[in-house]
Amino acid sequence: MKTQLLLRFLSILFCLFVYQSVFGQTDKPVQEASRLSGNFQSTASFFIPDSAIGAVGLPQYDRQLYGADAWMQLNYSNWGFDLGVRFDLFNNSNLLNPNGSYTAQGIGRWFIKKKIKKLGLSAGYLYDQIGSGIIFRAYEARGLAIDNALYGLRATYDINDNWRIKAFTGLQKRQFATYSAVIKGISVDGFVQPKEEGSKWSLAPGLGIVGRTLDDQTVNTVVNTIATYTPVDSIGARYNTFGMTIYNTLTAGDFSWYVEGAYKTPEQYFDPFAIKTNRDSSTSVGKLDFSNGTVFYTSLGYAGNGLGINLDFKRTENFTFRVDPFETGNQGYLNYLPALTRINTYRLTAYYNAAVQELGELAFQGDITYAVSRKLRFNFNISYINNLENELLYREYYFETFYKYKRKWTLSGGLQIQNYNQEVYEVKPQVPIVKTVTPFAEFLYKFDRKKSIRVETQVMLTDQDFGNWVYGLVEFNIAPNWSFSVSEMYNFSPTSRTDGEALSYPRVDVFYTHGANRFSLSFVKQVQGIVCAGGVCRLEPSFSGVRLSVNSSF
Amino acid sequence: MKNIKFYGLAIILLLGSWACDENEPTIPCLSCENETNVVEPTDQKILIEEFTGVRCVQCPAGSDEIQNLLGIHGSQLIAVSIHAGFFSNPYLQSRENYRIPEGESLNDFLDFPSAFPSASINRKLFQNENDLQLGRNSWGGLIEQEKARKSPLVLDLQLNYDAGTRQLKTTTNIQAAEALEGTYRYSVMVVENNIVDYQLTPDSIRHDYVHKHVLRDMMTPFNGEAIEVAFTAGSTLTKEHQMVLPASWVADEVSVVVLIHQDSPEREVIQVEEVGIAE
Repeated sequence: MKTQLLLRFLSILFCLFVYQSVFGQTDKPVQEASRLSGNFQSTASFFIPDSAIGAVGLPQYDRQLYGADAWMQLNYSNWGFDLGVRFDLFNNSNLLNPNGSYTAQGIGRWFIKKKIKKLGLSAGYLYDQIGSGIIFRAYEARGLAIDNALYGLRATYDINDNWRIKAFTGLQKRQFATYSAVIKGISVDGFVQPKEEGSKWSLAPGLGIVGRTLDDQTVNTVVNTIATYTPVDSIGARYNTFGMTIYNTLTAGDFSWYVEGAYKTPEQYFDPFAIKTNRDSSTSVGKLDFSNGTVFYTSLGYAGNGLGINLDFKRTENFTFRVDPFETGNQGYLNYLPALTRINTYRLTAYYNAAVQELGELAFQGDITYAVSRKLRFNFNISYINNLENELLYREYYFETFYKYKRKWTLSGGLQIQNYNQEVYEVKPQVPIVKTVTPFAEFLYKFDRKKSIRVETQVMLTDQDFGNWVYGLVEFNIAPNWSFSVSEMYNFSPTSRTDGEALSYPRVDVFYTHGANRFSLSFVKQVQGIVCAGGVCRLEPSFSGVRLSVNSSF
Repeated sequence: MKNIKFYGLAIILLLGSWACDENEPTIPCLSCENETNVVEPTDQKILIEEFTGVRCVQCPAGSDEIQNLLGIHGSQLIAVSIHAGFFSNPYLQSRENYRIPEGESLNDFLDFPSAFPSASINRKLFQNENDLQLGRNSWGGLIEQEKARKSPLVLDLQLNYDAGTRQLKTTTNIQAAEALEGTYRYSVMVVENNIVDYQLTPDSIRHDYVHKHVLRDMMTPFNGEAIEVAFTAGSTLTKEHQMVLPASWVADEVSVVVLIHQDSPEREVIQVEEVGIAE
């Protein structure tokens, strides 16, 4: 049934394209009448076993030796319609399961959108969110194997120029299938500005509700699971859960202030840290719990006169919201909780990432940037995260300065200090807090308008986990096409985690860019770690081998 | 006019929230002391194949959960712990390597866990699940669900063990209560319970950890032997295997698990039985 529907959709898309190709040019120029665009992204990996860095014991290293992930999106717009289809490919992929191998390919997404005066209609696999995404966000993060598209319908109506109402219903995408829970939601977004000329303030308020109804099979499994609990741990169970949110952005001159409060009705969810009492009076860790949830999030920003300040605060309590309470990892999330940590880009400053703790988190982040002149700039950032019992989860103090000398060279450098609760973030009981001090520097020198060299280095000093690391990179660029880089990551005072053995992770990259096409060929030795995007993280296993990547837009 | 639009909007939002009221499902209590909680064996038994490893810090919690479930379901639940994957590489000081080729092959055959500990329940792909491998938070509920099933096969497993030669012979009489379509495979697993050896736990690397239900060997290929005859109502089939137990195994802790599963992409276990040498 689904295949037939898809074939029909593809046929319509093809017919529209052919019709446009044949007849479209006679009516008016193609570029005014229609638009065909798309993008292509692929990574092919060739696995070379290396037991020293733990790149063994997985099917890719043992026998498959090759894996690939690829996506190709095609968009077509005409006659007020927007149509899109995307082909997804996973061959021997460990993107979905870092311990396993996943092979599947097919149509990963299609959609149709139409605007009829004030009414907007969409069908297919849709990406959307309410507010900042705290109660609902359907999005894609390919590197984290997240594709939470809503497979369903959405309607929007413009009440007037400043107010819009939106409603949607459907199921959440699950690779090439869907979850069974039904998701529906409604939201209203507005914009308020005084009519007086010269007024410098505005409001952008909104509110929304999202409901999730579990299917019988899931609730039966929940009930049967709770049935195995002793009375002290026994809880209720529900089919329906609702998330509600109200938010507003106040803009006044150089200031911007966002506030959002969200509430989730009581539901069953898995708490991996909860203590369960077993039938023989022994205890174990992890059980289903039943509670409501809340999030309060605010962000205050100022930008002017070379000074930029951002202050963020968030309090989260029991706000895990998934399509299925038994889902783990990054799968099945209905919502997205913003992370109050800095997005680091250097290899070692980005090594320890603080994933958002949906069950309990008290987080604060402050970021100050001050540009003394066009040549000199400073940045200071602090992240402060505790759990609701006021225990330390994460601290980061980051200072960086940039100095630019004419157009000839740029020097930047700074210091990062981190305290990272590895026991919580990586679910490794009893391991100590990882404390790091990481100085870093980067130097960019332009030989002429085309050729430049970039050198970066970082040293992470820590007594925990793998011990001290040093990282160095040299990159030579020939604009606009070529870029070559060589890097090395080395733990020069290893701990017992590697049985005292110092590990080396070299990497060589060649990049070629031609227009909107970028190709890369890399020889990689990569340490196992946690990779995050916006506070959502996944385990990235050790990698040893060769990678070939292609990114293209058209 | 503007007020009407906003009142209309408020009504729509209220309508949405009315659905908050519902009849909540009733939760039975299998662990309550005043209720009958030892399940009588039925035709269908449940096999839980847990994937674990001596370097897996979370795996003792999985083992605890299986012990808890065995306490609830009794002999209707049969547990096999398979040491496989990169967490199962032994420590230098480990007394033995519990990682065996059949276990690694089963890890592959049963679709690789995304995290440890993980287990498959009767090798069944449950409704709403993408994988055979499931996290421990859902084991209890799915086992309870499987208990309601009836199996069309009756397995009578008998062991003959010679302590002098350490020769172990297994004889399984398979009886079909009704005709079965499709093809099936028959597997014989040898399991040793209560092995004391090193294990990473949340506290430390413990030298005296008690490993439960460890898969030690298989008398058949990892994916079983093909059953060449068709199952018709009342038909019987006898399977015999034998092996010599290695000297390091404690015979009284050894049991044999036999199972019949579908020879198809589904791989679902139709029936399973376990008998210990000491029984």
